[in-house]
Amino acid sequence: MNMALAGLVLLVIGDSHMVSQGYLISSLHESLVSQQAIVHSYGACGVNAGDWVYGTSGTCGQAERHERAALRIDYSSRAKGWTVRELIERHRPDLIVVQMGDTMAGYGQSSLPQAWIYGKVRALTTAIRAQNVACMWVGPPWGSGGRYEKTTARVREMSHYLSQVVPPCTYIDSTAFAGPGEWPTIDGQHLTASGYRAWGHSIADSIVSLTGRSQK
Amino acid sequence: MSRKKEPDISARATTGLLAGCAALLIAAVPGAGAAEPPRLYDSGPARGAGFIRIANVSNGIVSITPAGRARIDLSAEDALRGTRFEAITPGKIAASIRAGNQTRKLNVAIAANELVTVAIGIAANGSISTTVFRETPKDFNALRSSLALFGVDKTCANARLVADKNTVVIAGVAPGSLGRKAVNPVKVALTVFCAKETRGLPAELGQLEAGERYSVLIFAAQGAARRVLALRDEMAL
Repeated sequence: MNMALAGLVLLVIGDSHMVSQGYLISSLHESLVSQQAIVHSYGACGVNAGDWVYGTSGTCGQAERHERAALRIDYSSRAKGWTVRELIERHRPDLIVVQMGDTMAGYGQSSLPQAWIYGKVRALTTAIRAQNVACMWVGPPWGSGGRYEKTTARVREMSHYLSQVVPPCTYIDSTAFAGPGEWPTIDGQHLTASGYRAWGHSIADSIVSLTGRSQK
Repeated sequence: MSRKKEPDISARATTGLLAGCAALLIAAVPGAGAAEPPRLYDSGPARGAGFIRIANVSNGIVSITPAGRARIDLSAEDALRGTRFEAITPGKIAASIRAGNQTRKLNVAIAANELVTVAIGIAANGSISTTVFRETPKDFNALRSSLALFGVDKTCANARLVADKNTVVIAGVAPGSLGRKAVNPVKVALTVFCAKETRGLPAELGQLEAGERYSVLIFAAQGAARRVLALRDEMAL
Protein backbone atom coordinates (compact mmCIF):
# COMPACT_ATOMS: atom_id res chain seq x y z
CA MET A 1 0.00 0.00 0.00
CA ASN A 2 1.29 3.45 -0.93
CA MET A 3 1.11 5.62 2.18
CA ALA A 4 2.80 8.69 0.71
CA LEU A 5 -0.02 11.09 1.60
CA ALA A 6 -1.40 9.22 4.61
CA GLY A 7 -3.37 11.44 6.93
CA LEU A 8 -3.27 14.55 4.79
CA VAL A 9 -6.58 16.25 4.12
CA LEU A 10 -6.57 17.60 0.57
CA LEU A 11 -9.10 19.96 -0.96
CA VAL A 12 -8.99 20.00 -4.76
CA ILE A 13 -10.88 22.64 -6.74
CA GLY A 14 -10.96 23.20 -10.45
CA ASP A 15 -12.85 23.99 -13.62
CA SER A 16 -14.40 21.79 -16.33
CA HIS A 17 -11.41 19.46 -16.17
CA MET A 18 -12.86 18.41 -12.81
CA VAL A 19 -16.52 18.05 -13.73
CA SER A 20 -16.96 14.82 -15.72
CA GLN A 21 -16.47 11.14 -15.07
CA GLY A 22 -13.05 10.15 -16.30
CA TYR A 23 -11.65 13.66 -15.97
CA LEU A 24 -9.36 14.82 -13.15
CA ILE A 25 -12.09 14.34 -10.59
CA SER A 26 -11.61 10.66 -11.38
CA SER A 27 -7.92 10.28 -12.10
CA LEU A 28 -6.39 12.87 -9.77
CA HIS A 29 -8.85 12.18 -6.96
CA GLU A 30 -8.26 8.43 -7.14
CA SER A 31 -4.49 8.83 -7.38
CA LEU A 32 -4.47 10.91 -4.23
CA VAL A 33 -6.87 8.59 -2.40
CA SER A 34 -4.73 5.60 -3.37
CA GLN A 35 -1.89 7.24 -1.47
CA GLN A 36 -4.10 7.38 1.62
CA ALA A 37 -4.92 11.08 1.50
CA ILE A 38 -8.35 12.23 2.64
CA VAL A 39 -9.52 13.96 -0.52
CA HIS A 40 -12.42 16.31 -1.21
CA SER A 41 -12.70 17.38 -4.85
CA TYR A 42 -14.90 20.06 -6.40
CA GLY A 43 -15.20 21.12 -10.02
CA ALA A 44 -17.23 23.95 -11.51
CA CYS A 45 -17.38 24.20 -15.29
CA GLY A 46 -16.44 27.55 -16.79
CA VAL A 47 -15.44 29.32 -13.60
CA ASN A 48 -12.40 31.51 -13.20
CA ALA A 49 -10.26 31.87 -10.09
CA GLY A 50 -12.25 34.83 -8.80
CA ASP A 51 -15.48 32.85 -8.88
CA TRP A 52 -14.16 30.66 -6.10
CA VAL A 53 -14.01 33.74 -3.88
CA TYR A 54 -17.55 35.05 -4.31
CA GLY A 55 -19.26 31.84 -5.33
CA THR A 56 -19.23 29.56 -8.32
CA SER A 57 -22.33 29.32 -10.45
CA GLY A 58 -23.28 26.25 -12.38
CA THR A 59 -23.25 27.61 -15.90
CA CYS A 60 -22.28 24.28 -17.44
CA GLY A 61 -22.19 21.81 -14.60
CA GLN A 62 -20.46 21.14 -11.34
CA ALA A 63 -19.22 18.04 -9.57
CA GLU A 64 -17.96 16.93 -6.22
CA ARG A 65 -16.40 13.84 -4.79
CA HIS A 66 -15.47 12.92 -1.24
CA GLU A 67 -12.92 10.33 -0.23
CA ARG A 68 -14.05 6.97 -1.62
CA ALA A 69 -17.64 7.98 -2.30
CA ALA A 70 -19.07 8.14 -5.79
CA LEU A 71 -18.78 11.18 -8.01
CA ARG A 72 -21.79 13.51 -7.91
CA ILE A 73 -22.41 15.68 -10.97
CA ASP A 74 -25.08 18.37 -11.19
CA TYR A 75 -25.83 20.03 -14.53
CA SER A 76 -28.79 21.92 -13.11
CA SER A 77 -28.76 25.66 -13.57
CA ARG A 78 -30.05 25.84 -9.98
CA ALA A 79 -27.04 24.04 -8.56
CA LYS A 80 -25.72 25.82 -5.49
CA GLY A 81 -22.11 26.80 -6.00
CA TRP A 82 -19.28 27.05 -3.52
CA THR A 83 -16.79 29.50 -2.16
CA VAL A 84 -13.28 28.47 -1.26
CA ARG A 85 -13.81 29.87 2.20
CA GLU A 86 -16.78 27.66 2.96
CA LEU A 87 -14.98 24.61 1.57
CA ILE A 88 -11.91 25.29 3.71
CA GLU A 89 -14.08 25.73 6.79
CA ARG A 90 -15.99 22.55 5.97
CA HIS A 91 -13.01 20.27 5.35
CA ARG A 92 -10.13 21.94 7.23
CA PRO A 93 -7.58 20.83 4.60
CA ASP A 94 -3.85 20.62 5.13
CA LEU A 95 -3.40 21.50 1.49
CA ILE A 96 -5.57 23.00 -1.22
CA VAL A 97 -4.88 22.14 -4.84
CA VAL A 98 -6.22 24.65 -7.39
CA GLN A 99 -6.53 23.45 -10.98
CA MET A 100 -7.19 26.55 -13.03
CA GLY A 101 -5.94 28.18 -16.21
CA ASP A 102 -7.90 27.43 -19.37
CA THR A 103 -10.87 29.57 -18.35
CA MET A 104 -8.67 32.65 -18.02
CA ALA A 105 -6.05 32.45 -20.77
CA GLY A 106 -7.94 34.43 -23.39
CA TYR A 107 -7.80 31.74 -26.07
CA GLY A 108 -8.89 33.31 -29.34
CA GLN A 109 -7.85 36.76 -28.18
CA SER A 110 -4.83 38.59 -29.52
CA SER A 111 -3.11 38.96 -26.17
CA LEU A 112 -3.03 37.36 -22.75
CA PRO A 113 -5.33 39.40 -20.48
CA GLN A 114 -2.66 39.79 -17.84
CA ALA A 115 -4.28 42.42 -15.66
CA TRP A 116 -7.63 40.63 -15.66
CA ILE A 117 -5.99 37.31 -14.78
CA TYR A 118 -3.96 38.93 -12.04
CA GLY A 119 -7.09 40.30 -10.40
CA LYS A 120 -8.78 36.90 -10.42
CA VAL A 121 -5.75 34.91 -9.30
CA ARG A 122 -4.83 37.40 -6.63
CA ALA A 123 -8.35 37.31 -5.20
CA LEU A 124 -8.20 33.55 -4.80
CA THR A 125 -4.66 33.31 -3.45
CA THR A 126 -5.45 36.08 -0.98
CA ALA A 127 -8.55 34.22 0.21
CA ILE A 128 -6.56 31.00 0.65
CA ARG A 129 -3.74 32.78 2.46
CA ALA A 130 -6.25 34.37 4.80
CA GLN A 131 -7.25 30.87 5.91
CA ASN A 132 -3.60 29.82 6.47
CA VAL A 133 -3.79 26.84 4.16
CA ALA A 134 -0.88 25.59 2.07
CA CYS A 135 -1.62 25.75 -1.64
CA MET A 136 -0.54 24.27 -4.95
CA TRP A 137 -1.74 25.54 -8.32
CA VAL A 138 -1.98 23.28 -11.33
CA GLY A 139 -1.64 25.07 -14.67
CA PRO A 140 -3.16 24.09 -18.00
CA PRO A 141 -1.99 21.19 -20.16
CA TRP A 142 -1.17 21.50 -23.84
CA GLY A 143 -3.97 21.62 -26.37
CA SER A 144 -4.78 23.34 -29.63
CA GLY A 145 -7.57 24.20 -31.98
CA GLY A 146 -11.23 23.34 -31.64
CA ARG A 147 -13.99 25.54 -30.39
CA TYR A 148 -11.88 26.91 -27.52
CA GLU A 149 -9.15 28.13 -29.91
CA LYS A 150 -6.43 27.00 -27.56
CA THR A 151 -2.90 27.30 -28.93
CA THR A 152 0.45 25.91 -27.92
CA ALA A 153 1.93 29.39 -27.78
CA ARG A 154 -0.79 30.75 -25.49
CA VAL A 155 -0.58 27.74 -23.17
CA ARG A 156 3.16 28.31 -22.89
CA GLU A 157 2.61 32.02 -22.20
CA MET A 158 -0.17 31.36 -19.71
CA SER A 159 1.79 28.71 -17.87
CA HIS A 160 4.79 30.99 -17.49
CA TYR A 161 2.56 33.85 -16.38
CA LEU A 162 0.77 31.73 -13.79
CA SER A 163 4.10 30.66 -12.36
CA GLN A 164 4.79 34.36 -11.70
CA VAL A 165 1.47 35.28 -10.18
CA VAL A 166 0.18 32.32 -8.15
CA PRO A 167 2.60 32.50 -5.19
CA PRO A 168 2.28 31.87 -2.31
CA CYS A 169 0.77 28.84 -4.02
CA THR A 170 3.41 26.49 -5.42
CA TYR A 171 3.03 26.20 -9.18
CA ILE A 172 2.71 22.78 -10.83
CA ASP A 173 3.56 23.15 -14.51
CA SER A 174 1.40 20.70 -16.46
CA THR A 175 3.23 21.46 -19.70
CA ALA A 176 6.27 19.73 -18.24
CA PHE A 177 4.42 16.41 -18.06
CA ALA A 178 4.13 15.81 -21.81
CA GLY A 179 4.99 17.40 -25.11
CA PRO A 180 2.50 19.44 -27.14
CA GLY A 181 0.00 17.07 -28.76
CA GLU A 182 1.20 14.07 -26.78
CA TRP A 183 -2.07 13.89 -24.88
CA PRO A 184 -4.91 13.94 -27.43
CA THR A 185 -7.97 16.07 -26.80
CA ILE A 186 -11.62 15.67 -27.73
CA ASP A 187 -12.14 19.34 -28.55
CA GLY A 188 -8.75 21.03 -28.47
CA GLN A 189 -8.95 21.52 -24.72
CA HIS A 190 -10.45 18.57 -22.83
CA LEU A 191 -8.32 15.46 -22.88
CA THR A 192 -9.21 11.92 -23.78
CA ALA A 193 -9.55 9.40 -20.96
CA SER A 194 -5.95 8.27 -21.29
CA GLY A 195 -4.83 11.89 -21.19
CA TYR A 196 -6.74 12.58 -18.00
CA ARG A 197 -5.25 9.45 -16.44
CA ALA A 198 -1.75 10.59 -17.31
CA TRP A 199 -2.40 14.18 -16.21
CA GLY A 200 -3.97 13.11 -12.91
CA HIS A 201 -1.15 10.73 -12.07
CA SER A 202 1.47 13.32 -12.97
CA ILE A 203 -0.16 15.93 -10.74
CA ALA A 204 -0.42 13.47 -7.87
CA ASP A 205 3.25 12.55 -8.26
CA SER A 206 4.15 16.23 -8.13
CA ILE A 207 2.08 16.75 -5.01
CA VAL A 208 3.81 13.82 -3.32
CA SER A 209 7.18 15.19 -4.32
CA LEU A 210 6.41 18.77 -3.28
CA THR A 211 5.04 17.72 0.08
CA GLY A 212 8.31 15.91 0.71
CA ARG A 213 6.52 12.61 1.06
CA SER A 214 8.16 10.72 -1.76
CA GLN A 215 8.86 7.19 -0.63
CA LYS A 216 12.51 6.31 -0.85
CA MET B 1 -18.24 12.61 -20.44
CA SER B 2 -21.62 12.70 -22.05
CA ARG B 3 -21.89 15.94 -23.94
CA LYS B 4 -25.66 15.41 -24.36
CA LYS B 5 -26.13 16.06 -20.67
CA GLU B 6 -24.52 19.46 -20.76
CA PRO B 7 -26.79 22.46 -21.19
CA ASP B 8 -25.80 25.46 -23.24
CA ILE B 9 -23.78 27.96 -21.35
CA SER B 10 -25.75 30.84 -19.97
CA ALA B 11 -24.34 34.30 -20.31
CA ARG B 12 -22.08 35.31 -17.51
CA ALA B 13 -21.71 38.99 -17.01
CA THR B 14 -19.47 41.09 -14.86
CA THR B 15 -20.70 44.54 -14.11
CA GLY B 16 -18.26 47.35 -13.74
CA LEU B 17 -18.55 50.46 -11.63
CA LEU B 18 -17.70 52.80 -14.46
CA ALA B 19 -18.94 50.91 -17.43
CA GLY B 20 -20.71 53.57 -19.36
CA CYS B 21 -23.42 51.50 -20.92
CA ALA B 22 -24.54 47.92 -21.16
CA ALA B 23 -22.78 47.39 -24.47
CA LEU B 24 -19.49 48.17 -22.83
CA LEU B 25 -19.85 45.72 -20.02
CA ILE B 26 -17.77 42.59 -20.17
CA ALA B 27 -20.27 39.95 -21.10
CA ALA B 28 -19.72 36.41 -22.09
CA VAL B 29 -20.54 35.53 -25.63
CA PRO B 30 -20.07 32.16 -27.21
CA GLY B 31 -16.86 32.06 -29.17
CA ALA B 32 -18.33 29.85 -31.79
CA GLY B 33 -16.86 29.12 -35.14
CA ALA B 34 -19.19 28.22 -38.00
CA ALA B 35 -18.28 24.54 -37.98
CA GLU B 36 -17.87 24.14 -34.26
CA PRO B 37 -20.49 23.85 -31.54
CA PRO B 38 -20.44 26.85 -29.23
CA ARG B 39 -18.04 27.02 -26.35
CA LEU B 40 -19.48 26.01 -23.03
CA TYR B 41 -17.69 28.92 -21.42
CA ASP B 42 -15.29 31.72 -22.20
CA SER B 43 -11.58 31.77 -21.76
CA GLY B 44 -10.98 35.09 -20.07
CA PRO B 45 -13.09 38.15 -20.74
CA ALA B 46 -14.91 37.46 -24.01
CA ARG B 47 -13.93 40.73 -25.66
CA GLY B 48 -10.86 41.58 -23.63
CA ALA B 49 -10.67 43.83 -20.61
CA GLY B 50 -9.41 47.30 -19.84
CA PHE B 51 -9.59 48.94 -16.43
CA ILE B 52 -10.44 52.38 -15.13
CA ARG B 53 -10.31 54.03 -11.74
CA ILE B 54 -11.03 57.56 -10.60
CA ALA B 55 -9.11 59.60 -8.05
CA ASN B 56 -10.51 62.73 -6.47
CA VAL B 57 -7.69 65.26 -6.16
CA SER B 58 -9.91 68.20 -5.32
CA ASN B 59 -10.69 69.37 -1.80
CA GLY B 60 -14.40 68.61 -2.04
CA ILE B 61 -16.73 65.88 -3.21
CA VAL B 62 -16.45 64.73 -6.83
CA SER B 63 -19.45 62.97 -8.35
CA ILE B 64 -19.22 60.76 -11.43
CA THR B 65 -22.26 59.56 -13.32
CA PRO B 66 -21.42 57.02 -16.03
CA ALA B 67 -23.94 57.08 -18.87
CA GLY B 68 -27.00 55.12 -17.86
CA ARG B 69 -25.68 54.22 -14.44
CA ALA B 70 -25.88 55.40 -10.87
CA ARG B 71 -23.84 58.32 -9.55
CA ILE B 72 -20.66 57.66 -7.61
CA ASP B 73 -19.53 60.17 -5.00
CA LEU B 74 -15.86 60.38 -4.06
CA SER B 75 -15.11 62.28 -0.91
CA ALA B 76 -11.96 64.26 -0.21
CA GLU B 77 -11.02 62.01 2.71
CA ASP B 78 -7.85 60.25 1.68
CA ALA B 79 -9.19 56.77 2.34
CA LEU B 80 -12.14 57.45 0.07
CA ARG B 81 -10.56 59.46 -2.72
CA GLY B 82 -9.90 56.59 -5.10
CA THR B 83 -12.05 53.88 -6.66
CA ARG B 84 -10.86 50.39 -7.42
CA PHE B 85 -9.86 49.52 -10.95
CA GLU B 86 -13.07 48.42 -12.62
CA ALA B 87 -13.04 46.16 -15.65
CA ILE B 88 -14.73 47.29 -18.83
CA THR B 89 -14.85 46.00 -22.35
CA PRO B 90 -12.22 47.95 -24.30
CA GLY B 91 -13.72 50.95 -26.04
CA LYS B 92 -14.98 54.39 -25.15
CA ILE B 93 -16.74 55.27 -21.97
CA ALA B 94 -18.61 58.46 -21.18
CA ALA B 95 -19.55 59.99 -17.87
CA SER B 96 -20.54 63.32 -16.43
CA ILE B 97 -18.53 64.86 -13.62
CA ARG B 98 -19.74 67.27 -10.97
CA ALA B 99 -17.47 69.07 -8.52
CA GLY B 100 -18.90 71.93 -6.52
CA ASN B 101 -21.16 73.80 -8.91
CA GLN B 102 -19.12 72.80 -11.97
CA THR B 103 -19.95 70.02 -14.40
CA ARG B 104 -18.20 68.58 -17.43
CA LYS B 105 -18.18 65.50 -19.59
CA LEU B 106 -15.58 62.77 -19.42
CA ASN B 107 -14.86 60.68 -22.51
CA VAL B 108 -12.09 58.12 -22.30
CA ALA B 109 -11.01 55.39 -24.70
CA ILE B 110 -9.53 52.35 -23.02
CA ALA B 111 -7.58 49.61 -24.80
CA ALA B 112 -7.40 45.94 -23.90
CA ASN B 113 -5.12 45.28 -20.93
CA GLU B 114 -4.80 49.01 -20.29
CA LEU B 115 -5.14 50.43 -16.78
CA VAL B 116 -6.40 54.00 -16.85
CA THR B 117 -6.38 56.34 -13.87
CA VAL B 118 -8.37 59.56 -14.16
CA ALA B 119 -7.45 62.21 -11.60
CA ILE B 120 -10.18 64.81 -11.19
CA GLY B 121 -9.52 68.14 -9.57
CA ILE B 122 -10.26 71.83 -9.83
CA ALA B 123 -8.02 74.03 -11.95
CA ALA B 124 -6.80 77.48 -10.91
CA ASN B 125 -9.59 79.10 -12.93
CA GLY B 126 -12.18 77.09 -11.01
CA SER B 127 -13.05 74.67 -13.80
CA ILE B 128 -12.92 70.90 -13.45
CA SER B 129 -9.62 69.43 -14.58
CA THR B 130 -9.01 65.84 -15.57
CA THR B 131 -5.67 64.15 -15.99
CA VAL B 132 -5.65 60.76 -17.65
CA PHE B 133 -2.82 58.33 -16.91
CA ARG B 134 -2.37 55.18 -18.93
CA GLU B 135 -0.32 52.07 -18.25
CA THR B 136 -0.23 48.59 -19.73
CA PRO B 137 1.75 46.77 -17.10
CA LYS B 138 3.74 43.64 -17.77
CA ASP B 139 5.31 43.38 -14.35
CA PHE B 140 2.65 41.45 -12.46
CA ASN B 141 4.47 39.32 -9.94
CA ALA B 142 3.21 37.83 -6.72
CA LEU B 143 6.64 37.89 -5.10
CA ARG B 144 7.37 41.57 -5.66
CA SER B 145 5.60 44.80 -4.87
CA SER B 146 4.96 47.42 -7.53
CA LEU B 147 5.25 51.13 -6.82
CA ALA B 148 4.07 53.92 -9.11
CA LEU B 149 4.41 57.68 -8.93
CA PHE B 150 1.76 59.78 -10.69
CA GLY B 151 2.52 63.42 -11.48
CA VAL B 152 -0.83 65.17 -11.11
CA ASP B 153 0.45 68.53 -9.90
CA LYS B 154 1.39 70.58 -12.94
CA THR B 155 3.90 72.57 -10.90
CA CYS B 156 5.84 69.49 -9.78
CA ALA B 157 8.50 68.92 -12.40
CA ASN B 158 10.73 65.85 -12.41
CA ALA B 159 9.01 64.24 -9.47
CA ARG B 160 10.88 61.44 -7.76
CA LEU B 161 10.00 58.83 -5.19
CA VAL B 162 12.70 58.21 -2.63
CA ALA B 163 12.94 55.31 -0.19
CA ASP B 164 14.28 55.90 3.27
CA LYS B 165 16.64 58.87 3.02
CA ASN B 166 18.32 58.71 -0.33
CA THR B 167 17.43 55.66 -2.40
CA VAL B 168 15.72 56.91 -5.53
CA VAL B 169 13.06 54.40 -6.56
CA ILE B 170 11.40 56.37 -9.36
CA ALA B 171 12.72 59.57 -10.93
CA GLY B 172 11.95 62.00 -13.73
CA VAL B 173 8.18 61.88 -13.57
CA ALA B 174 6.80 64.83 -15.52
CA PRO B 175 3.39 66.36 -14.82
CA GLY B 176 0.73 64.24 -16.47
CA SER B 177 2.88 61.12 -16.58
CA LEU B 178 3.73 58.24 -14.30
CA GLY B 179 6.61 55.96 -13.45
CA ARG B 180 6.36 52.45 -12.05
CA LYS B 181 8.89 50.01 -10.65
CA ALA B 182 8.89 46.56 -9.06
CA VAL B 183 10.47 46.53 -5.62
CA ASN B 184 10.99 44.06 -2.82
CA PRO B 185 8.14 43.82 -0.33
CA VAL B 186 9.67 45.61 2.62
CA LYS B 187 8.68 48.21 5.16
CA VAL B 188 10.01 51.47 3.84
CA ALA B 189 9.59 55.18 4.40
CA LEU B 190 8.76 56.83 1.09
CA THR B 191 9.02 60.50 0.23
CA VAL B 192 8.06 62.41 -2.90
CA PHE B 193 10.20 65.28 -4.10
CA CYS B 194 9.67 67.74 -6.94
CA ALA B 195 12.56 68.92 -9.12
CA LYS B 196 15.47 70.04 -6.99
CA GLU B 197 13.42 70.75 -3.91
CA THR B 198 15.01 69.33 -0.80
CA ARG B 199 11.84 69.21 1.25
CA GLY B 200 9.66 66.28 0.33
CA LEU B 201 6.26 64.93 1.24
CA PRO B 202 5.85 61.53 2.92
CA ALA B 203 3.85 58.80 1.18
CA GLU B 204 2.34 56.57 3.83
CA LEU B 205 2.20 53.02 2.53
CA GLY B 206 3.74 51.19 5.49
CA GLN B 207 4.78 47.59 4.96
CA LEU B 208 4.72 46.77 1.26
CA GLU B 209 3.13 43.39 0.63
CA ALA B 210 4.25 40.83 -1.92
CA GLY B 211 2.05 40.87 -4.97
CA GLU B 212 0.45 44.20 -4.13
CA ARG B 213 0.58 47.23 -6.37
CA TYR B 214 0.63 50.79 -5.08
CA SER B 215 0.17 54.25 -6.51
CA VAL B 216 1.46 57.52 -5.11
CA LEU B 217 -0.13 60.67 -6.54
CA ILE B 218 1.41 64.08 -6.02
CA PHE B 219 -1.21 66.78 -6.42
CA ALA B 220 -2.29 70.19 -5.23
CA ALA B 221 -5.93 70.79 -4.56
CA GLN B 222 -7.17 74.26 -5.38
CA GLY B 223 -6.08 76.83 -2.86
CA ALA B 224 -4.21 74.23 -0.83
CA ALA B 225 -0.64 73.12 -0.45
CA ARG B 226 0.86 70.36 -2.52
CA ARG B 227 0.22 66.92 -1.04
CA VAL B 228 0.44 63.20 -1.62
CA LEU B 229 -2.21 60.52 -1.97
CA ALA B 230 -1.03 56.94 -1.46
CA LEU B 231 -3.29 54.22 -2.84
CA ARG B 232 -3.27 50.46 -3.03
CA ASP B 233 -4.23 49.40 -6.55
CA GLU B 234 -7.28 47.24 -6.02
CA MET B 235 -9.09 45.48 -8.82
CA ALA B 236 -12.78 44.79 -8.67
CA LEU B 237 -13.80 41.24 -9.50
